Amino acid sequence: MIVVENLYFTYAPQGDYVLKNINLEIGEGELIAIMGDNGAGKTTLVKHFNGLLKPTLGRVYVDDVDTRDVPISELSRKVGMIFQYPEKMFFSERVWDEVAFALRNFGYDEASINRLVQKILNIFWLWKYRDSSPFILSGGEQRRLAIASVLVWNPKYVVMDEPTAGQDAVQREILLQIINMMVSQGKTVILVTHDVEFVAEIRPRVILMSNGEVVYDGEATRLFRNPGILESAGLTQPILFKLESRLRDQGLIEGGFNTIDEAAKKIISLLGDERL
Amino acid sequence: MMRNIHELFKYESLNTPLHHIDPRSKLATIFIYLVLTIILSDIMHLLIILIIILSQLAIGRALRKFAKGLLTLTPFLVLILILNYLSLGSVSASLVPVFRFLLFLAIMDLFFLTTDPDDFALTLESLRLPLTVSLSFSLALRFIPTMAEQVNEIVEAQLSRGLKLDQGNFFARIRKYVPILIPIIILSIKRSIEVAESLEIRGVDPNIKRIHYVALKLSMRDIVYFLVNLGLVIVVYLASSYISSESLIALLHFSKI
Ligand SMILES: Nc1ncnc2c1ncn2[C@@H]1O[C@H](COP(=O)(O)OP(=O)(O)OP(=O)(O)O)[C@@H](O)[C@H]1O
Ligand SMILES: [Mg+2]
Repeated sequence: MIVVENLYFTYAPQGDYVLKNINLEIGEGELIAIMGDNGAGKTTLVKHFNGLLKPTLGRVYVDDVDTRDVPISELSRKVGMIFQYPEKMFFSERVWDEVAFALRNFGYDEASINRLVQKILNIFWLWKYRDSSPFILSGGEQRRLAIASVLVWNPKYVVMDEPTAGQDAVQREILLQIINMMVSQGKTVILVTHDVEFVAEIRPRVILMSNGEVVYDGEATRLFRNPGILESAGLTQPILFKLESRLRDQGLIEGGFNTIDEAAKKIISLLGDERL
Repeated sequence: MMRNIHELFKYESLNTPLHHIDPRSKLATIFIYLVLTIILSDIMHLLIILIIILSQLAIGRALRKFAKGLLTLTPFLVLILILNYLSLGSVSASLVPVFRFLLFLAIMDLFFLTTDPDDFALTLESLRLPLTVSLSFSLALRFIPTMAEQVNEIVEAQLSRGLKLDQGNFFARIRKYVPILIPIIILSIKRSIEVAESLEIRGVDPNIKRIHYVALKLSMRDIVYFLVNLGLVIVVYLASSYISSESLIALLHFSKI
């Protein structure tokens, strides 16, 4: 469990607080999206989870350990962090070494390294590139490699900052699968994103931030039915929810849709199609 | 330490008298101080220059940043001290190069921490340097904060992958910078290609004479600033041949007797 207690944070000693009185509990196996406009403090918040940043005031605990008391390298074994445009950090000559890098840092023996790297490269459809340079891969493959090189050490918590940024529809679909896989393995997955459509597809718990504060913490569905809060944090409703509210306003439906298929069925039935 | 090295050079737009001084006047000023720093080699004289520069940094509200930078470079200063001590065999003599280095930093900060990179570019052009030179200079300066941010991001990413920068012997530590340096080099190359392309798109051509929208103008204040500093430099220089640390120590001995 990650617990954030009365967290305040400022980058400059006498500067304004970038995070203000944040209180959160993130349980095991949860799927969470941290959303909010540019500069809301999302990245700053998640950097506290693996100790890259330490609270100015308040506390952050990862599995009951105060993040101020342990080095980044120790927290990182539990909290895998995948930054925005993670492919920027590549430096190895071979894909294999890029993935093995963290394992070597964490002191795994060669036999385990071989086993783990082989396994993760296969899961991420990258085995055939093991001897290639990371730099010749396509954008989507590079993103997958960056994710693989973190998941390889099997962190319990996985934080992804803007995983969908700069990715095409196919890659988004693959990302969705990767996220589902992690959730089914019981990992806690924390996504930082602006991408309302992506969040509408996975319907996680949403922590909405604006101006360094948490302004909403709860179900995605309930948030997306409330355009007021969304707009105050610089986001718009996903298409499905816009459609839903138009239909509701017209008195054509009650409640809403969970999936596009559901919406399609409802609309077809409203049109009076006998086949349904 | 590596994580805030960029703070040393970051220009901050503040409203202090020094920020308003014409960059050409400042450039000339730091030039005469640099010359003085090289000419003089008595600790006391260097100390006097340091005090003058530090008070100006204080006026420019840049003292804190200078101090921070110094903190980061302390190991380097200690290294200079030790190496000089080994070759010169005297503490007081080996303090001189340390002081010079310190002064050099302070003088550079006096200019760069209080001068807008854009104004600096105009200064270089007004000195009739070719556009390619002045543009490269000012772009380089411009990109220091962005580069610094990138460096920070890469360091954080590699730390999150378990990189421990402060472990192992000297050579092991140097090798640990590979995962940081390679991404930085790649990013810089990519960036320079992007910049070159965007300059071409906007029709930057070194062979065409350019007309500026904003022109630098020397005011009375800029001239006075330079003259006051020139006066100080001359006074320190003249006084230096009369008073030195040795004569001062001798004087103190006399007064005891
Ligand atoms: N290294 C830094 N030094 C100083 N200020 C910073 C630093 N990083 C971020 N900030 C400031 O902190 C605030 C929050 O930034 P942060 O990057 O956490 O926002 P974000 O929600 O992740 O935004 P985005 O959606 O643009 O990624 C911003 O005002 C930003 O300018
Ligand atoms: Mg961010």
